[in-house]
Amino acid sequence: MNKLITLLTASLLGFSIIAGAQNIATLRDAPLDVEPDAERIPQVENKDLKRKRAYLMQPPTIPHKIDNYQVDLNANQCMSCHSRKQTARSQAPMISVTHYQDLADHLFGCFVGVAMWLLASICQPGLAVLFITALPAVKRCSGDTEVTACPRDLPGLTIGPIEDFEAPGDQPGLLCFGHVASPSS
Amino acid sequence: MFGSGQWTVWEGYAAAKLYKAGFLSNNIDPNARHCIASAVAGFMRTFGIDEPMGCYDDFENADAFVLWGSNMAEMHPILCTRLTDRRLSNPHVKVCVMSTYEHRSFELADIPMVFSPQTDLAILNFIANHIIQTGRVNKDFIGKHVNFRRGAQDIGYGLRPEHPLEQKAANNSGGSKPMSFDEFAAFVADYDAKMVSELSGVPEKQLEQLAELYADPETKVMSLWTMGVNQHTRGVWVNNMIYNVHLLTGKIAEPGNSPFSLTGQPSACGTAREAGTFAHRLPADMVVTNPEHWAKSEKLWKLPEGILPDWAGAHTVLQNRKLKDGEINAYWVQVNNNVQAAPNLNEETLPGYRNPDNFIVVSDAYPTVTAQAADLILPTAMWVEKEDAYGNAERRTQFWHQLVKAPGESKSDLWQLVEFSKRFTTDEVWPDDILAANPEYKGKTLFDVLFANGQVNAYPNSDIEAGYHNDEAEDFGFYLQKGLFEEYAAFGRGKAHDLADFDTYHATRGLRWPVVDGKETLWRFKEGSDPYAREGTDWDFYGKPDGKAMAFALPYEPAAEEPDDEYDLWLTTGRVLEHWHSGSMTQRVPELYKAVPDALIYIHPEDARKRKLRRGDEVKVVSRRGEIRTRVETRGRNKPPEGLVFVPWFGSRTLINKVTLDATDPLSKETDFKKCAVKIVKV
Repeated sequence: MNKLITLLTASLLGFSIIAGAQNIATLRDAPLDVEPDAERIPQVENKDLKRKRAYLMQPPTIPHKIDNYQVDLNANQCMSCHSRKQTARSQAPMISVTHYQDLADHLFGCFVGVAMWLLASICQPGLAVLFITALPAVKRCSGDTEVTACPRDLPGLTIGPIEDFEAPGDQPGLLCFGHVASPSS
Repeated sequence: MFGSGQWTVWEGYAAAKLYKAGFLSNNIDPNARHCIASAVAGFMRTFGIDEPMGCYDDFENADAFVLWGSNMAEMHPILCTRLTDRRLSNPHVKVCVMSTYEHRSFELADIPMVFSPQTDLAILNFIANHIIQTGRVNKDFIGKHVNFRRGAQDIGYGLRPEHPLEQKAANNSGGSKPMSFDEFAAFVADYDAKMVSELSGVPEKQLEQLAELYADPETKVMSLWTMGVNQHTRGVWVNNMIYNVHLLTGKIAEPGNSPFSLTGQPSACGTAREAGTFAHRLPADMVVTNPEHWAKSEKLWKLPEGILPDWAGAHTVLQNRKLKDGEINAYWVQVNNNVQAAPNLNEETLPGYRNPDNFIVVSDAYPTVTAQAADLILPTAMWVEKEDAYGNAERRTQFWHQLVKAPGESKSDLWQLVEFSKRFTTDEVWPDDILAANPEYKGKTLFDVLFANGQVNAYPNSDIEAGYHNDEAEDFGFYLQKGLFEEYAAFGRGKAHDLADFDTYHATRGLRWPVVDGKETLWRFKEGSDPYAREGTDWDFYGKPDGKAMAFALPYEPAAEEPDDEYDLWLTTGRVLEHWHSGSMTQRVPELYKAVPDALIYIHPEDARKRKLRRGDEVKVVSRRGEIRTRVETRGRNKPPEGLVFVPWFGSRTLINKVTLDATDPLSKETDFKKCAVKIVKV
């Protein structure tokens, strides 16, 4: 790591030198026509201790092994510890809400159906979060589909995707949310 | 000069102008040649105008995505979240991921397809054949909007002319002859499921599932491709053949029906392609060999008539050959790391850079291996250390202000180019007869005639938005960026490359050209969404004189080098998520460096076992051209099939370009970094 810091410093200072010899601080550290020995493959850190973040918005890096984790169309094994529901048990960091934001910073329904209840507490101005209990027919619809049967007929409400949602108190129902034209409604 | 798709818009424009109009040399090319040249030639050949007709909004409209050799999950991770969101939020959506080895994008695949290298050509002809055989050709569309052509075959491999493969090749051209649809149908009829399955190693059932995504008229399909298609000795052909299957079904230029060449970041589109930095090009798709095009450029640049050079300059790979042969002696490299990127380092690049007759200048912010090979290094400002602009793959032009001062003595590439132009007079670099006929240009510096020409220096520094630095404007005394932009934009306005005015871009988050009457264009060639599509045409491929796109009949032909008894494995190269290009920046980020410190060789466990290798063993990867030393990885994120290995190229300690072959597509001159033969030797 010291070497890396030295290199960072060298690159930040700026430089103006005549090269030709091997005297510049590349990451290669060997003449171009010589093959350096290959470094060993490092051990993956598996301590499960949170690492310091370098800046405010930095996502956490993973301090444990993830070999053979299933992350595909059928399952996301990371969520077995990092989903909102599992964090009390696992003590793992909860998945960031940025995973549920679209390009316009709108929060949107998504494929895991967890962590949604959080929206109520962090929702932005103009964002409506509704809990719907009377729509057994609507199981899932895409962002393109307008839901006309929304029980709370808010003016200007466009409905985002709807997900099956396990509500507090095990009440069956669906969560839907979207943007309200006038926040006052 | 060797420049870059990471050049900002006016850096590339100023460099092209300085070389072509100042030094009267077209020996300037960008590293985009390694990346998107096949896509450019594919667009020009099929549509007569460059860059995708669709845009990123296609992701939210498609029912199916086909990744042609692209590992989008690692290489375009942000865009891939839109694809992922579309797939997971809409269960009917299908994703087909095609590659010569399994990688991270396969995690999302409904149809995961591993095919033998080079057989994408046959698979595309199978899809065309399937569409025809099952009666799903959109006859109305092809009748009105498509011409069929038979392309020249056996076109060689872009090696040095004395190479046996070049001696053997019949053609070296992109020529073609007209043919009928029925002749086209007969041409692709040989490519049935059985034949293509045997050639490609893909089960017939999977081939049919893939073909149905294109054939089914109810499925809106987006094709996505990057280096697997472009870095290919038949890269232009593959581009043409992807358009074939979209044209046969009329699935094009509508939301969700989109053949989409993903390459172009950060500015390979906005700079390298649009500003005319290629050895054969001028701004706005014009070429140096067309007398009308130089006449127009001379007028817009306020230059004497007949001054621009009419010969195509040396492309990227040829530049290195000419450095080695001593035909190019003064060489300036900006914004790229070509000693690590260019193929066949030992036999071509390094002898060229080390040729004592040559003087090599490298402008960079970081000490790369290219800087290591240079005679002079110029410290260079980057990104928000200057006011600048990019144009991306969906034709979006985006601007930013200078936000911080560059450290130390470093200066932007633009500053370096413009300042350098002050050191030459027209008397030194322009021919006597031109100066005798145009005495008003005599005794001027190149700075005077190129940048202080009444256009580039037309805008005062008071136009700069309050609160921002602009080091270039301060040093030169005028708003250099605005003047360069407005002069450059004049090339494309009214020519379906319309850009908005300079100030508009600082007030928006970018606009997709053509911008006509203040409105950007999301889908080109479609009446109603593209102002250039003529009324009553429905679709108008106006890049071609008759408004029709071209479908090309092209065959499967083998790769330039395939495994044999001695060099018994395919080598394919690429990147990893953690490192951008050659890692000159990302390898200096501690988190990324620790995550993936070195480039490993990914190999099938059975291939490792046969060679008595275990994970972590040190090996040499050897080709006919050179070797590297690295470690064996049998459990990593990339899972090659037996017979193929993958080595990423970010590692400056493992210069895999010592091993790769300098075979190029003879039409686009883009290197095939995906296919050569190697053996592995335990150290």
